[in-house]
Amino acid sequence: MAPSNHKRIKQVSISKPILYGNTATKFSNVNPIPLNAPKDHTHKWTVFVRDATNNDLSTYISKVVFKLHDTIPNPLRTIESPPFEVTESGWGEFEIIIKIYFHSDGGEKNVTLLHHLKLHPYNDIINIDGKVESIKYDEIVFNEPTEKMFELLTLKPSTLLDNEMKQRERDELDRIGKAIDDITNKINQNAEQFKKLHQERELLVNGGNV
Amino acid sequence: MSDILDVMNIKSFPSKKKEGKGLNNSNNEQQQQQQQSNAERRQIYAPDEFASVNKRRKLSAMNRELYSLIGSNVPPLAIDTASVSNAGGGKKFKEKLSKNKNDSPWRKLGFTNPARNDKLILYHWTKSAPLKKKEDEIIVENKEGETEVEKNGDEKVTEIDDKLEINNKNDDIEMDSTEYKYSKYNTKLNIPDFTEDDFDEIMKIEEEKAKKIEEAKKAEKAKRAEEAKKIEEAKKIEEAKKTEEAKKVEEAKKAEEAKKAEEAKKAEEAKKAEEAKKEIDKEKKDEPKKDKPHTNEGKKDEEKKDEGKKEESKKDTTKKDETHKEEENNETSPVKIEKKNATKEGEVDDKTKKTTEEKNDDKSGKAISKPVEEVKERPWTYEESKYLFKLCNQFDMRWAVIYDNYQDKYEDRTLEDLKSQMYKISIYVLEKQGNANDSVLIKSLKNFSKEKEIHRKFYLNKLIHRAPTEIAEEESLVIEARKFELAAKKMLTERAQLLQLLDSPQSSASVQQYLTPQGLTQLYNSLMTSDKGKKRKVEIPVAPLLGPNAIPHTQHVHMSNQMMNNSNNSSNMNVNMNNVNANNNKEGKDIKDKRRNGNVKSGNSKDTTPSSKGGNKNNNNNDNDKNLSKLSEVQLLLKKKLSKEELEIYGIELHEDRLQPGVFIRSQKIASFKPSVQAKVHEILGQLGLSIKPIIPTGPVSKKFDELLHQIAHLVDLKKQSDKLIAEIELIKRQKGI
Repeated sequence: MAPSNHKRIKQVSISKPILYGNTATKFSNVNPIPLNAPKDHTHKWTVFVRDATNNDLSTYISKVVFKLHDTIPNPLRTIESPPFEVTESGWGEFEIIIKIYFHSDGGEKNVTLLHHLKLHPYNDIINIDGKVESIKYDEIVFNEPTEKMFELLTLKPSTLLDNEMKQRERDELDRIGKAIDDITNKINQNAEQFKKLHQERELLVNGGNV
Repeated sequence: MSDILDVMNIKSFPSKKKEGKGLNNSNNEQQQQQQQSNAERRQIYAPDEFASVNKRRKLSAMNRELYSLIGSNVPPLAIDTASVSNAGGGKKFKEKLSKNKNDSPWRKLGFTNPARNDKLILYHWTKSAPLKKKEDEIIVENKEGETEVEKNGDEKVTEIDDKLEINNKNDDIEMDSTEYKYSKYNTKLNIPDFTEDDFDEIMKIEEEKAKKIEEAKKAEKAKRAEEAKKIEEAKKIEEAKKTEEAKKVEEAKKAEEAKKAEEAKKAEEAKKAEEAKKEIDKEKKDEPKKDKPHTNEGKKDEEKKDEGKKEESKKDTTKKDETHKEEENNETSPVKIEKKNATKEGEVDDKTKKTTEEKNDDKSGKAISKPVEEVKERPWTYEESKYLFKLCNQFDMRWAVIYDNYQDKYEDRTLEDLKSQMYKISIYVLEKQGNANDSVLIKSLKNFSKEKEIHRKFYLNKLIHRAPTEIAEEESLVIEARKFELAAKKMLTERAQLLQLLDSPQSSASVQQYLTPQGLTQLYNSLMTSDKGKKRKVEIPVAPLLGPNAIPHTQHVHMSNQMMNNSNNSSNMNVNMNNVNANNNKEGKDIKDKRRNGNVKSGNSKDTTPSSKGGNKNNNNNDNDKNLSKLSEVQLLLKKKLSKEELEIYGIELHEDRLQPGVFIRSQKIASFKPSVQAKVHEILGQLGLSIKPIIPTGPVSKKFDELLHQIAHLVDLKKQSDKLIAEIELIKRQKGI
């Protein structure tokens, strides 16, 4: 029986961790401005999409389209093979629209990410190597993937997130858990107050009737 | 083109261009063109008068504007002769401008109104079709023109006195040949006529009615008296005595009054008869008829006496009613009643001055200023009724005018009196005629109630004569009332919300069942559905759906095979995988078989997993057999063949509910709320030291974050409701003056 590409596997979802963002280095004596670049450019930057576990994205991603600022020549950059990244020089920060396309036989639509190109560091803290980084972690989730997509996604073994990421995830979970506790406490307090108020009101209303 | 040039005042000559272009063409063509343009020129500019008369005026866009305003009734067109001559014939005007140049003059025509008997000829100005030299054509054209014009309604009617008309003689004036346009308004109301016999009969009927009403009233009075007695006996014996005394006096008075009324009435009627005679004299009606009314009046007088008595007694009853009412209402003020009785007794004493008493009654009625004061109506005579009908006919039932005219003769009637009399007689006559078409009319006539009408006018009058301050106060009251209504509505909705909130499982006693993760998701789902019911845009919940066995078996087979292959490829291999795989391949497409085998498989793997995984954390498999049964077979397979870690490595997640298929970015699926709530949620997140979105949006983090968000939303909602409740309590307190 020929497998149908568009049959979906029910009640299963697959998520793929990715990293996207940019790195930027200021032009300096160590990192001189390229000859072909305009004089007013101050930074060299690279925007990228890659797997968070350093695996190959191209097993299921067919291409990544980066929509750069309109003033940059040829602003629509389509990268069809890894590494999915664009390196440019420039002087300003702007929003980059990143569209990720999956292999067409997988029958899934593309997804869109939005990344703010970061050239200037927060709080003027710069890495030792002078790099400014703005990298975000995210996951592409395939809800009820098509069979073909499932195949593509499980074609190669992936690995678990590294310990650093795991640690950060745990921290985040802890933070949120704590926040939830806080909120539940507040809710309980408020609920009690609310009940009291309601009773008070009922008393007032009924008292008026009698 | 030429229009635009006109407007721009640019002198350009397309024909010249054409000629220039046309150099290559044959001479014939050129000639033809020139001829054509020449012909056009001639046609357009031929009337020399236009050019000469309007020399001074320059062409401007205004001309076109004028044209569009006036339409075909163009004033003589202004043509810049200089430009025309300079242009050498190149300049063109639109042909339609010259088309309707013909005059269509206003003409004074005579006309008659068919409604008039005196054949008065009036004149109006009408616009007629353009005049032409041939006289025969004029007539035809005129007719057409007139009809057109009358449609337009451009008509000036000038009235000329009869005398003038006579002087003028009709000879030199044309008559309007069309029908008088407004003759459709020459309608006449069909007001029923009646004879004297009819009138008598009507009056009799009315009397009978009056009697019935009186009887009914008497009965009512008796009842009331009894009631009053009972009440009084029960309450204050003294007062009861007083009233009884008063009643006795009244009864005595009534008897006396009735007697004297007869006498007085006779005198009065005699007076009236005399008055009637005088009136008749005034009207100068036919002398022979005069006798008949006399005899009739004699009869009428008797009737009137009866009527008079009845009405007199009616008055008394009403008075009594009033006193009774007062007794019932203000039992604490017997003094008043006594006073009234005293005055009445006084009146009884002064019976000789009957007429003055009546007046007094009227005055007192007015003084009380109650809308319905049964003022005795002077009985109608035939002549009066006839006169009324005459006026009705004359003034087309315009009551204001009729009343005004009626006042000249009989001052004591009110407009309502006139109306009711008119309608009464009309009803009678129409009923007598027995015309089926009139039934509706009769019904509507019968609906007329004098009392109601008086009521209505009284209230209207009151309404109109309100002081500005009163009006302002009323308006403000209305606004206030509306505010209260709105507030009440709001409070009701709030109350409903509050109660719903209280009903939510959050505040219910046992939390035990929600402590497990499954219980939590169940709670979450129930909350979500209830939220959905409330139409709140919290989050679109994933539709909880169907049994897990929704996957077709063919797919299942394929899936399982594929899974096996995948597993084979992967480094983590299950010991039993090959066996199972083999089993799978062996199994045909028979569904039943496969199901059975599915069970066998699970049995197998259950046995094998612990051994293969050793000290794996895979407790879930064994723990929740019930849950497993919920999962589809694919999931079962996945779950059996892959360890939790393996699943995590692949990023595979198994769900109990069906999902919305498709790809998405995890961080983009985080719940959002309506703007007002969203802002507060973000605020609270900030207070908690968290960012708006999780930094590492892995599956578990996102789930937890979602949970947090909903808790926060709940908190925000709760706070809002609490605030509302506090406001409401304050409001209630303020209303009660606490």
